[in-house]
Amino acid sequence: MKIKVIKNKPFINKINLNCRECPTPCKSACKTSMTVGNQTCEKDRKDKTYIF
Amino acid sequence: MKKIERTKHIYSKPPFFHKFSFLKRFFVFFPISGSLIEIDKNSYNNLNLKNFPKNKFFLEELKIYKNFNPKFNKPENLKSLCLLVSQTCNMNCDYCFVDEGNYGKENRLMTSKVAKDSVDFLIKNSKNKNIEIDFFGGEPLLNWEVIKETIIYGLNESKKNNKNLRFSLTTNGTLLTDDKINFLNENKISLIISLDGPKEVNDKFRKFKNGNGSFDFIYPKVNNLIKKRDSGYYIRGTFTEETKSIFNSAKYLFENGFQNISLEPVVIEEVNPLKIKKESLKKIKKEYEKLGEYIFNERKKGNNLNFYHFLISLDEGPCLGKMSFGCGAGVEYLAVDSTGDLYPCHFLTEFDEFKMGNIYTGIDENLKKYFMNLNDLSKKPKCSNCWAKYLCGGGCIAHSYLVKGDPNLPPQDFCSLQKKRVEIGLFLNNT
Repeated sequence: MKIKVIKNKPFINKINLNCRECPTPCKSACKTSMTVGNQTCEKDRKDKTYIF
Repeated sequence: MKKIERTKHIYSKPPFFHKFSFLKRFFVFFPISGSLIEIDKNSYNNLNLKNFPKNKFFLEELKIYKNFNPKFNKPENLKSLCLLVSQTCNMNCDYCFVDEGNYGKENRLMTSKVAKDSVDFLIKNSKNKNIEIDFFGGEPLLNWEVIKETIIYGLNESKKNNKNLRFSLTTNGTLLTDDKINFLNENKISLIISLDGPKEVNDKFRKFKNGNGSFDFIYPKVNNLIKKRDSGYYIRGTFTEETKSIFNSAKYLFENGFQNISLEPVVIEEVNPLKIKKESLKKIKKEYEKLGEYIFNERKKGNNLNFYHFLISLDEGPCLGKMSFGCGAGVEYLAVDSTGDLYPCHFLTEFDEFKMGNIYTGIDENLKKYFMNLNDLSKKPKCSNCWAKYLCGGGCIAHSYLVKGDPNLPPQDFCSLQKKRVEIGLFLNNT
């Protein structure tokens, strides 16, 4: 099998972060709660002016 | 509160991996580690959960999978309020879930006092530094002066209390003026603007009370708005059984200068003819694929188009604690009606059985515990074995309640669309 690794275990280094400072999914999801994954970690978005 | 029975759950891990293909490329996603690999077609065809290569990569992933037993604190902290500043609307959209904006009750506007007291309530009840308030309706701009006062008050109070308070506003756009746009831009208010697509699509259901379509009235105002800001907004449309050509709708909006689009299936009772039919799901998934391919090609030309449900970043995504918890309704997120009564979310405000206190008397702790369980993905029976659960959150609790009568059971048609969106999102934003 030929494997091209695109992302290598990206969840692992954040697995226990749990600061809960990220936006609530429904709130910033255009009033749809249907994707949690599209929320960016607040740790990486401190300077972001807008919620989304 | 009306007792709502919940199905017993059996928790288990998602599968070790999930394989999918898009645009003739072949991928394997590992739900627990978040790894994503691309493989050749022949290997893809032969790969299954019982037959996978025992090479270094797969064995490392298997070790992570077998040892996965994370510990994280369940969220119990309020961080966001939805203020129903206007429980009335100047439109009469056919699919509106709140009866012309009044939630099946009398038309009401929130007073400045209730709005400001809601800001105090959020600051007092949240341990988070980052907190949020959304102005919602009906049509919130019918209560513009209260919105303005609340923003000014909130920014001052949050600064005094060392909080970072951000606002958003969900509007049909009809009452946007230059003055309002300037104020919203100066104060960095995120905007969610309702528009379903081109005129023939939008005007089918988004109508004024006299029955006239709203497109010609709204479009120039929204166009004016986005000329004055390049981010911090979403055009949020609804599609129905009769308007399900979402590729054409999204493409129209993209081609007309809107860069951030969200189109969402209508949330409506099973018996309503506008509800997406099961037999339409295949077509809608094809629509998502066409849209994904279009965005992929546009991005290659340098056009940074965003479709909300494809925005999945594995590198910048949230931690497992976040991913193991749902929409936050009733725990991290509450709706406040014009009297200060609290509900788990804007959608559930029309159900008296979900009233969970008041900003002056506090939160009903029993209902909060109930919603903590509802948000806990490990307790959602339909999600337990799903490969997409950490990127999905288990769906909309209100949607489940409305469609299935059980807030714990995501509708399966929703799951089918959601998985397709996640696959395309994994491809578009990570490869």
